Amino acid sequence: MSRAYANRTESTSLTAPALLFVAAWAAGGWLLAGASRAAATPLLQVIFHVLAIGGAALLLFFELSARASDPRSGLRARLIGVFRQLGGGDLIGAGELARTLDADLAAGVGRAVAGLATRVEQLQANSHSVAGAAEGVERGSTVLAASSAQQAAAAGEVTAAMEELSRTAAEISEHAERQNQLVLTAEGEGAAGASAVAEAVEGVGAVERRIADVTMRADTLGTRSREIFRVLELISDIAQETHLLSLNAALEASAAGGRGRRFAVVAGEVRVLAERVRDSVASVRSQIEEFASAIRSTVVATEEGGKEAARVLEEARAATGALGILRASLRESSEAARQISSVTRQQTSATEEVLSTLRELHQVVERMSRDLSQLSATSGRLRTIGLDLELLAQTFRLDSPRSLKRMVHEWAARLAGTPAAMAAGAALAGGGAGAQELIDELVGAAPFVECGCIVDPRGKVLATQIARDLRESNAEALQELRRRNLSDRVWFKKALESTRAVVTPPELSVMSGQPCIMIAVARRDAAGQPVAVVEFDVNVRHWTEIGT
Amino acid sequence: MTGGFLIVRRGGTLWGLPADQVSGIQRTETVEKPEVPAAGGGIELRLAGGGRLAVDAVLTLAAELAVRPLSARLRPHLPAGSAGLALLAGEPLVLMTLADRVLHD
Amino acid sequence: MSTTPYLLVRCGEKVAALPAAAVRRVVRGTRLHPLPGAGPGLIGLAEFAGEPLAVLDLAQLLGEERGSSRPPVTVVTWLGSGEERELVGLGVDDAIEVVELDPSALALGTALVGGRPVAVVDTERLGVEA
Repeated sequence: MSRAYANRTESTSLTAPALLFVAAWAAGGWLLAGASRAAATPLLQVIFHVLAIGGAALLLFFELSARASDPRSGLRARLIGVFRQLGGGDLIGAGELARTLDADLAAGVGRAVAGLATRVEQLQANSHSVAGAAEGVERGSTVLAASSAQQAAAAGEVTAAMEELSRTAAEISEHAERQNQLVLTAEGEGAAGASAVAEAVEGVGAVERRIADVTMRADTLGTRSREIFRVLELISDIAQETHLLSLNAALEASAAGGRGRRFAVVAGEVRVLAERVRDSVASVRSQIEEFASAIRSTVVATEEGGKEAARVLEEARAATGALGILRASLRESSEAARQISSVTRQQTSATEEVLSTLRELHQVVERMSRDLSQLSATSGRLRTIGLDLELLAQTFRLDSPRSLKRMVHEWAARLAGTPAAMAAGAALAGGGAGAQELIDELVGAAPFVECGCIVDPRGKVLATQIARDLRESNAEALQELRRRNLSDRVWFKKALESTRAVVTPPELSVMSGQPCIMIAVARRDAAGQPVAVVEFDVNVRHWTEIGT
Repeated sequence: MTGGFLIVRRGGTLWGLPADQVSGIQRTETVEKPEVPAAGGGIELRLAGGGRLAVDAVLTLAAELAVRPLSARLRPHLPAGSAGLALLAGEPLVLMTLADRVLHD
Repeated sequence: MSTTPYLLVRCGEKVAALPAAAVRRVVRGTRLHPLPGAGPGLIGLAEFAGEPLAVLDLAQLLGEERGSSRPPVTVVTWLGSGEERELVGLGVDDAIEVVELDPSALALGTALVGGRPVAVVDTERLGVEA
């Protein structure tokens, strides 16, 4: 596009100074001719006339040559003009110029231009689709990336939970192991305790046997002493009888008188003997009684001891029973602990498997997430490319509803032609719309237009408007825009210089933060002078969304 | 009953009663007036004087008894109505007389 | 100097002396048949030498308190004199020995034996005054 403008400017700049030079020469020649009349030298007059004619011829030559390059004359020139238009992307201009060609050329060129127009239109449509698709891909990949990120996070959570479970299971297993060890220790001690109790029981049993032994002996001794008592009783009786016998003998002896005296002595000795026996018996009896009493005490004590032993034995048996129950429950506990240990170990290995699977999954998801990020980036680039493609397609001026350039041209055309009329703000009959009205309508007409302004040729903002949804948040910006002078803007300068619409590359909008392009065109009056520049910002995203 | 002596046991000791002083022997459930501790053997002698005598057992009727009459020394020691002492089969017995009708149980 | 033999017997705390000439026999463990309705002095009836023997409590005859237990030894004694002499059993706790005492002891009614006073019993009169 820029090249087309450059060529145009070049030819214009060459022709003008050349014409001036020639004109000046011609003018100078005639002046000299006039001045030389006074001199009335015929040579000089001829020279001056030749010079004037030469100048005029030069002037004519230049004019003719200029005309020769004017696309409005000459078939070749017109053909070149068609190609130039094509080169500039102005398919409509090329089509118009083609119609001025000879009939057969016009048809052929016209068909070629039409065909090109169709293809470009297709290209525009396809590029729009591409941009839309790229947008869709980008959105989809963003969503996908987000969901994969979520998935990764979820997988990470599950992994963490599983790891926690694994740790807990390991703890449980360890605990069960320790408990098992404790139970084994306790069992060992319980066994030792049980054997100790058994020994004690055995010992008590031995004591009981001893006691029974002692009791038996005491009984024997008791029996013996009773026998002894009986014997003593017998002896005592005999002694008593002997005593009586001695008394009776003494009595008889006394009755016998002198003859009985010796007998009385013997009787007396017998009596003494009987008394001695009686005393001995008494002594022995008392000793035996002491002995028997001692034995009885011993027996009683032994019996008490036996009872005590029996009690201890009973307690020991109870202890054995309790110990047995305890050991049984310990064994149960140990068994339970072993089972827990085994189960948790199984669980641990199962958990390990799950964990390793989860970790793999996690890695897969992460890879997928990265791939999706890349895809997102790629789709972003794709979208950018799609956008560029679309914009490129838009550089062709076509009679297509898609064409933003056409749109801006149409809107600009509706603008009133004079500053006064523009300022009036009211649609004059047949005179065009007021600036503010127009820009209001323009901004409201298309959803992809963020804002628009109408600027006078000096750069002063005549009217401006922002899209309704951006109005509130950007009220200050709007006010500032109204006060600004936009003469330094590239689009403004270019629009002034050209009859064609100007499109800028996408930039981030200050207002929406989204990529926008600016379309601008100069509204010219009948003389071709610019009276205003109509410009609007297009939100590229919104623009690519519509019409799909 | 005439002649001889009825030998009875009463309170651990043998007693002899002149047979003609005993009018009847019967079993009895109750003892009427125990002036003398009776054994409660359940046998009652009906005496000729009208009294009754509870005895433990009636042993035999002895035709004759060698009776030693009670001395003045012994008399106060023996129960009223005791006439003398005798021996029957190696066992001492007291001969009762109911002549002065003192004895009645 | 002539002395007279006496049998020393114990009745409870008291020691009595019975003239040996009057004592027929000292026996122990004879079967005694109690007599219901008899006086407090009669311990029971026994048999001696084929004759019934009344056994009296010597302590009670001497005026002593009769012990609760029955005197285990019986001294078969002639009480009284002459024709009316009769054998009576005297229940004592124990028969000790035969000693020689002065004949005047009987009249005195008491004598010293081994430092101890003994009651000399006149068997001829015993039980009659009661």
